[in-house]
Amino acid sequence: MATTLTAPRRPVTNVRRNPSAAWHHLDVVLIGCVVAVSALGLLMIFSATRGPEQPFDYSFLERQTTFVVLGLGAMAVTALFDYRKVRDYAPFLYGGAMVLLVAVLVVGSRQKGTQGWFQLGKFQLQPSELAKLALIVAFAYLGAQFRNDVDLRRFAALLGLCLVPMALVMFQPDLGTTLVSAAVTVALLVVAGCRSRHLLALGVAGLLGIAVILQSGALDQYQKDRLTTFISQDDSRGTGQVEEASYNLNQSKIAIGSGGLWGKGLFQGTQTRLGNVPEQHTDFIFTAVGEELGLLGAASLLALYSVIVWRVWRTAQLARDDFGSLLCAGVLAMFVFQIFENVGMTMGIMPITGIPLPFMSYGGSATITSFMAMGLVLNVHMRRFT
Amino acid sequence: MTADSQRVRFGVVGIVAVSLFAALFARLWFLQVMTAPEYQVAAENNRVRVVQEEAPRGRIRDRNGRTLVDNRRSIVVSVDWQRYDGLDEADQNALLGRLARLLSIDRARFPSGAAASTTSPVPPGTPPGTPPGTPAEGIVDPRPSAPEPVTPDQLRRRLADPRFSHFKPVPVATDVSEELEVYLAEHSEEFPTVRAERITVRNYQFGQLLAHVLGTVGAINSDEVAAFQNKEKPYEVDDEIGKTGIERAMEARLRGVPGEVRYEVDARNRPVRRIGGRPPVPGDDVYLSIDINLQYQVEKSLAAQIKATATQGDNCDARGCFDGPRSGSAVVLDPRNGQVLSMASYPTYDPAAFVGGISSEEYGALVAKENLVPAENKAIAGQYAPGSTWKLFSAYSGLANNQIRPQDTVYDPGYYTIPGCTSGRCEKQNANRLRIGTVNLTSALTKSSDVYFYKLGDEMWRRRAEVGDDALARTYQQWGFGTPTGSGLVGESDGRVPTPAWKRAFAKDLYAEDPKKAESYGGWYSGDNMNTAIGQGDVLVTPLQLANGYAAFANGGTLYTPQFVLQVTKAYSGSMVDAFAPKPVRTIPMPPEWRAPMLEGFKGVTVTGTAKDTFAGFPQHRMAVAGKTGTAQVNDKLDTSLFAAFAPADAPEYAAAAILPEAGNGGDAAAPLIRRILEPLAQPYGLKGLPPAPPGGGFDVDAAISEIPAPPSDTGD
Repeated sequence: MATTLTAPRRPVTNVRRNPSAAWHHLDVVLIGCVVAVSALGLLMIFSATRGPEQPFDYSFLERQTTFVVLGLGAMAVTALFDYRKVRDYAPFLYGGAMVLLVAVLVVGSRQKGTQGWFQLGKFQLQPSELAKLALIVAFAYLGAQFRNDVDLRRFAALLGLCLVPMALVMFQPDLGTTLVSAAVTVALLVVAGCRSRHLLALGVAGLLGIAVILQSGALDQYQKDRLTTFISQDDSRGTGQVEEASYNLNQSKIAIGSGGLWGKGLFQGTQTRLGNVPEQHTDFIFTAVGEELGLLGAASLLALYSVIVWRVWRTAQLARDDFGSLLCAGVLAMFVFQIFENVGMTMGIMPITGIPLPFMSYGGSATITSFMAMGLVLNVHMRRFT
Repeated sequence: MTADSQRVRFGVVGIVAVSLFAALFARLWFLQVMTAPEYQVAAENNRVRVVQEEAPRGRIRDRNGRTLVDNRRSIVVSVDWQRYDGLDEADQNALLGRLARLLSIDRARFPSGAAASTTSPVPPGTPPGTPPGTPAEGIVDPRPSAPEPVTPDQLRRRLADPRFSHFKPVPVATDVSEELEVYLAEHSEEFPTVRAERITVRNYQFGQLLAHVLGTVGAINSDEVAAFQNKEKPYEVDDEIGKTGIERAMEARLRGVPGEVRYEVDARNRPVRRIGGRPPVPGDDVYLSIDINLQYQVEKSLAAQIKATATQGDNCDARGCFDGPRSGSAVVLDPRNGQVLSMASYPTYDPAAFVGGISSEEYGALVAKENLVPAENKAIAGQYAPGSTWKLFSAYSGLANNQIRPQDTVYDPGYYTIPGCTSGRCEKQNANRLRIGTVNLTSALTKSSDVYFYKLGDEMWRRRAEVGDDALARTYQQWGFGTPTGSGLVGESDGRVPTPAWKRAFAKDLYAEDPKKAESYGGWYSGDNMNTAIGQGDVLVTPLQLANGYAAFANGGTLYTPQFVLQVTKAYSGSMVDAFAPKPVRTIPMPPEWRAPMLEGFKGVTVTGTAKDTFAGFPQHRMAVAGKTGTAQVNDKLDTSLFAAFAPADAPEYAAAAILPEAGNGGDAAAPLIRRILEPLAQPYGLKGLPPAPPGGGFDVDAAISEIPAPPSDTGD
């Protein structure tokens, strides 16, 4: 016979003395998902960069590991400082980011036609990534003050706030980051309570603006080609840049499509191993997942992203104040747009632009920025009772 | 911010996010589930490149298994024209200057052929390229002689030569040394666009011997790609293909099955690793019916005879004096089965000139009329009036059409008057109006009485209502004349057997604007039949047809298709793939009562007849020679000298024909040549006892002339 023991229903320790203490409300699900995606990212970056045979190239893996560790640190730091203190520094953050954006146009280094990096020893800093965060913080700072009462003047102020960094990034030119900023802006304007007619007018103006930009020649031909290739992707008659752009897209689709249901197995993807997909470790990292891990892996990754987005969305609603809510909404828009645009372009349903896939794509600035954004969300989440 | 409106706004954002993720998943499903198979095929095509590896061509051997043609590796220097063209002119000039200097030094250090022998032979176990002996005279060797320096201009011309595709590297020097290969590899920045590569090329063990029969190989052209589609042995763009001779005729057998190497390649098409494939299978070996030792005798004798006749004969006739012979050809067959034992055409060329690509200039020299088209095989392509050698077939026609009987005699006063003739030339005469006296069939052949055959032709024409106006022609066609023999070699001529119908059509064609003239020239008269009967007029034969006709008579009436290939065997194992049996075309009825008197007549030719002086001292007791001289008249040229023969007369093993244009009487050149060829065969061991052909096949013509003392030439026809 078993003896039924009744344990005393007292806590073993008294760590739960303050039930509203911030660290009791850490969003473990979000952290878990972020860590899982980052780990998968490391694996896929290694697969895409190790080369076809021995000796394998570990350099990308090592550097990205460094970035992830730095990112985790940055996330922790961002989460620790009370986001309401961040609010006090919002103008300085925004101003600082703008200064960096101007500075990069003057003293930055040029890569693939884009002047968007500071060379810091071995590493490169991409200020446009940080500027996205600064934009979100500044918008939340201003939008929270307007308290759901956004007239035309305030609407213009908010819009202007966003347009300045977007214009500076466009000068580099970095179309991808500009588009992300635009998506963030629109989402924030909606959440901030802007009036429907203002938003409608903005939409019309935006469409007109796109038409004017495409016609005026402000974009280089290669940018236009990349943007429009996905519309005519089965048209193989293109030449030069169009051909190159459609080559990228073709190889990308072949990689994902050939992965099938179960994938070819880790390190077994021929498109990945033989380097057929250009920029695979950065913008086209999703193709490595699709090819080697198949629908199973790719859908799992999308599911992880969905959970992350859901947690951010949930935090935005749980936030104690409008500032926190807007912060989360901005981060949400940033992630959703980046994921959709990046994964969509590898599958041929979105134009090809240089937008990294959060926590997956190789790159220091983007990885650290993404972690810091998560840090902000964690921050809002765990301080929702204080 | 009211709670309600805020919830709505977040709801909107959430719905947008959910639909975007749903779109991504839908697209992912489409790519990875619905259309996955086609992308899997695309990925595989991306991954694998198949590189063809050319298989060594099969070897060509003579009837005793001596290797005539095999393969060797050669180092070829080539220039990538596309990249060369991209250089500016000063760079081009500097580059060609440096390259010319380098090639000149290499050539001086490793003169002609020596460099070739430093290269490794191609397995299995073939001996390295043998340096050619002294090239015989009459060999048109288009390659500049060894130590002559290479000039930048030569290289420039070579690069501009339209014979070489500009989409492939243009070969500028063949058989360079390994040292040069290494030098070029180490100094590639000094020599942009230039590279040295190893290729497998044909190696001619006996130099220029048998060049026309062996033929040449070259890069396949677009017409041939279409014509030679071969599923088992697919061709790629710059693959080699047989162009002429046996190389062409036996292409399907000689060509190996190309190997395949399957590489996994990266995005830039660089091979990453080998993932399989199959090794090349060498082509099959081909055994010819040719005996290379006999071939050596024949080519040497042909060259010697032509030179001797041209330099020592008087080469004069009633019309004046001429240069003498400059070309000729000879064929030796085995009459028992139609196998070609030897076939020679002069002037000849060195097939090695084609190795690594031949330039327009060099090729032009081989097909130039003023050089007498050395590339042409005159034994099958040359067409000549047969003269009195034709009388065999005319006599048979007379017998077969009941026109003559062997015992009937005709008085030959030296001329023949056409009975009942009222206009035009009514009289035809023997050569030099020679009075021969009373002849029957046997002596008409021995003494070559034209009158006997004039009468035959004339009377056959008179009986045309009974025997047909083409009675003679039908007999000639029966003996294989007027159509190619079907030996398989490309470039065989038809020859020509004239008939009244042919002449009418020919004249109509010739005088298309003047029907009246066509009418008068197109008519066929008694005189046409008479000319045809003695092998003049419009009759044309090739040396091979003539030899084959005599072979048919020699074996008792079986006309064979001349056969060049005895068997085909596998390269390594030597196991038989195919053995070729003699191919009879038809049997010509030959009752002994016809054949015996004719044979007597031909036997008499070398004893008492038109070639008796030529064959004086010939060991007839060991090998009696039956034959017939021929002297064909040609406008504005010295007569064509012909001789057709078979031996031993009673049990023939050899049938031979020689035709030397511009050489005078049959007894002047062709008969002595056949004697030179047959003399060694009359020795106790026959074909087996011939002195071996030296490696490289070279010979000294002057020595050859003195080898057999020039026999006194007959004046007979």
